[in-house]
Amino acid sequence: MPRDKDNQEQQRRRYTTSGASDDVVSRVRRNPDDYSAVMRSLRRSTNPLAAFCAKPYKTNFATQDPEEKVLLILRKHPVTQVPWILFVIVGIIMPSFIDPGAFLDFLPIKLQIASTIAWYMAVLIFGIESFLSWYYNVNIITDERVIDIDFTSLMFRNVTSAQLGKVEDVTSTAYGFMGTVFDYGDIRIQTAGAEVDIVFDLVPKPTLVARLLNELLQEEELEQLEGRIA
Amino acid sequence: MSLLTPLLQLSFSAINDGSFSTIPVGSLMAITFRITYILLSFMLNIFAFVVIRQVKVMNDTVTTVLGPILHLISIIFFAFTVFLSVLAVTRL
Repeated sequence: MPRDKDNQEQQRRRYTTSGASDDVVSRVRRNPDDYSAVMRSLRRSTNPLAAFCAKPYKTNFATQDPEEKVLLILRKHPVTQVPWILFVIVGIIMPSFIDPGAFLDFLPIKLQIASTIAWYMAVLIFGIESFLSWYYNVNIITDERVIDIDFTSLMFRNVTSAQLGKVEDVTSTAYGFMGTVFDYGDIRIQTAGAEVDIVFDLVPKPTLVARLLNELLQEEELEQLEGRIA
Repeated sequence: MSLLTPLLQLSFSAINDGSFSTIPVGSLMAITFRITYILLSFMLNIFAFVVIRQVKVMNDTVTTVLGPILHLISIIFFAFTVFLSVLAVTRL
């Protein structure tokens, strides 16, 4: 927090020393902790594998502005990843219980070993692909926009972003038994005009995220009304 | 070639002496398995290379603490697949 105050102070000095008027001095973006109760309630996350990563450490993205702050990084809730994790675990331990030689006894021993290696490689490929799809399929909320990075497989990547000023409506939906118990759901962000809607799928704490987005939208409107940010 | 030679020899000799139906199923299966494994190992190399490229691109898109570690793991995985391919060609 002191570092943020220093940054703001540096910005003020930059504006005043360049001969700008007092109106320009007031054009300083506020720290999200100052206007968002949700951001104040969240602690900085240091876990790189977290699905709900508030104020993430050393995290940025390609099109980030120098003064843009990443507030929240969301991934699918870990509970939704249980099926493939179970499949990998079963795939690893299965050859210990079922003798592969019983099926492959017509092959030389070298090829029997190769078959076992091929099985483990198939399980490894499935595990790697599933993990990367989960890890890089992120939703980012900054103090300026929302970004949805879809990485559903190794061959498909889609990045969608929308300025907070263009967001019209935020809807959070939690559904199903698991969604209710583990508190995860979808968030649909409707944007103005013909731009596509952004959907955060199966993210943790959808209500809290929707509340944060509403606070950010209010601040964005306030900035536009006060003319703080051009 | 070292793999195809026994398959071709087996086929030609079987055709010549008319004993194609008497070829042991096991040996045919073994040759088929060998060729399949070698092809699979090369496909595995391509997969591992795609993983390296994608991890690099995604690390450029979203920079995280774990990104460089995942990149290193993907390179090790690629090296492992190359090793397996060499083993498949030379030892099977």
